[in-house]
Amino acid sequence: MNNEMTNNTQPEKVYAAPKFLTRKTKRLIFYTLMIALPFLQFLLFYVYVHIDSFAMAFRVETIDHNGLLHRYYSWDENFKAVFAYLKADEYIGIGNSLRNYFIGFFTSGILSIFFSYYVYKKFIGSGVFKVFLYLPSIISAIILVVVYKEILNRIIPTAYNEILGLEGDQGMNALLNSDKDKYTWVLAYSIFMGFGGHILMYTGAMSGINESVVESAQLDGVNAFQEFWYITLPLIYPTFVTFTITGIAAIFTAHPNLHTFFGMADPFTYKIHTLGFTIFASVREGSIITTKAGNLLSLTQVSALGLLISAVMLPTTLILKKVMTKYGPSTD
Amino acid sequence: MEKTFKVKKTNRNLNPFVIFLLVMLILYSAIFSFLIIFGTINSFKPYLQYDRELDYLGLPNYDNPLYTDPRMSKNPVYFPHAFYNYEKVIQKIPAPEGEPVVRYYAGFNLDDIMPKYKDNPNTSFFKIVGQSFFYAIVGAVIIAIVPAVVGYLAAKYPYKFSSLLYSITLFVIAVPLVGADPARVRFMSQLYLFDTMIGDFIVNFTFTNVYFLVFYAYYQGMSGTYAEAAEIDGASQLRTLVSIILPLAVKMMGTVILIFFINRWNSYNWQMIYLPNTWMIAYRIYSITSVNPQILNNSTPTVIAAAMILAIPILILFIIFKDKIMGNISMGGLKE
Repeated sequence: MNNEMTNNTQPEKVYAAPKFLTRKTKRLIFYTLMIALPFLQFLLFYVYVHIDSFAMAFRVETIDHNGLLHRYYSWDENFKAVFAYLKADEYIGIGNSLRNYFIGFFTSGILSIFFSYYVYKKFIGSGVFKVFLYLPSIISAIILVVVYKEILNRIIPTAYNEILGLEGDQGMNALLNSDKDKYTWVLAYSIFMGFGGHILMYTGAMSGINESVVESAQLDGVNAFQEFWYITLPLIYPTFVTFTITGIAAIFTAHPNLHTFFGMADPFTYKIHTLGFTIFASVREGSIITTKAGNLLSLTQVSALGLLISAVMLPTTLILKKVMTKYGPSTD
Repeated sequence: MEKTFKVKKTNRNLNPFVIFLLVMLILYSAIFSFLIIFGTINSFKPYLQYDRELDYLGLPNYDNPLYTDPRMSKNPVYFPHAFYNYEKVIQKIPAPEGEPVVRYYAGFNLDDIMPKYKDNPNTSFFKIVGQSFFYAIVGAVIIAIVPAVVGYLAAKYPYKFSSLLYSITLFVIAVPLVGADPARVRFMSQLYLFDTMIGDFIVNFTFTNVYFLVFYAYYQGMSGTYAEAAEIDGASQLRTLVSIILPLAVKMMGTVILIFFINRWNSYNWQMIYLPNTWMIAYRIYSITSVNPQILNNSTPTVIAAAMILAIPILILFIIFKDKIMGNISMGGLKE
């Protein structure tokens, strides 16, 4: 109706798009306009930032006694400082990072595949268990750490001492008071709370397995473990590889909530560093010069450390992918 | 029919392998339930019942005169009620005036470039909650929409640049480049975006994440007839995108928004670096539970109550959208 009225008053010319604006051109203009901002963001906050991060690794910044900032470039100064930091006797960040990753990988990482299988096969209570396994990934670590600390520091020692009738020095103390065991308890927490995301991904992958394959195996009389070992595991192996490959960088970047357990100010937090926590705490501190009596790195040193980690992780990722793809279970 | 029956029967067979998993899962669920129930009960407990009488496992008792807390009330015959700890948290969460703020350096002295941060604003609990909600929801919407739009463009506009966008995303996801935070913080400081919410939104205005691949795959599999029909009817490209294309993926976007809302509501590590002087609820609760519990008079039940406050909106969301949050993820993305 409107068209008719308009057509009566104005000929088609009004509606005809200018010749240079063909459908193709309009699409191109729209595409360019829509992409422009996200791409600009990528150029600035990924490309530029990483180039600057690379440059920062070779930049040294100091403050003189007048409070003036001096910058100069050096090929090796930051790297020497980083190596000295990592080689210091009291620094156990690399060992802790490796321990953190591999213990996590071989416990919650592997168990989550078994648990996912249980959920996927809808065995007894699988719906409830799925919720329990997933809850730690949506409930804030603050809550879980606060309660976990109370249980370690009060409930377990109190129960232990009461059961065995121990008192005073003979009794068990708060578990997190022992410097020797602190990291172990932190690690236990990480393992216990680390199932959520894995469970969802693995059950998702398992639900994509062709039902007829499973049914024919069941008709052949396989039991649950055989089905898991010979059918489910090989068929979700690509998911496992992807998970492992994309998660490998976490070896040197993950930090298991040390500051939530002990706070940033507790000197002990710095004794049980992981490499990831060193980076986090150093950036948080954001100092030009090294602070806290050598406990943290300066920002430029963090960039140098990041560059070193990237240089190690890049080939590691590629090699791991090749090895895992070559030697993984066959789906035949 | 017979076939289905057989499969179900096999699935429920309890052999040693399944029993082993069942026992492990029961153990796990029992420990986790204990953590949550212990935390919930003790968050309602009078301070003296827990910290002085060392009654860790009993139910809260508001009638015992022993539990009068002279430090928490001037009234000597005051007995705490069930929500006393929560009330205290709501009173104490706002940062008091004069509390030291983070003097973030990052190569720039914030006192010079951002004088507004010289004094920490004395803000209310509800303002912090509102601010956190805004931060979480807007950020989550940005994180969902940008990859959806760019994913659509890359999938349905067959330019060479679209292939480049796909390759860029794969590169960013797969190649582990570590240690860019110092450069990012400094760059944001140079742009006066550091420690601002708008700066945070801009940093998250990115398509280079796994959800780009999800939306890309979704739109690539979608027929082009929807957009063509709209175009024939005279809709502009933008109109087609807003009225037809994005609504088709609204369920997927909803799930991404939910996941990132929860993520951002709970987040405090990111804020410790990028928003050090902007109080969000999780960051503030982290600082009073892990760093300064003396703000809550070192009362353990009040500290637990403070932590529990964080979980309330998340648990409500989880109860309402449980299937959305847990059911829609598969490797490489989400299923509708």
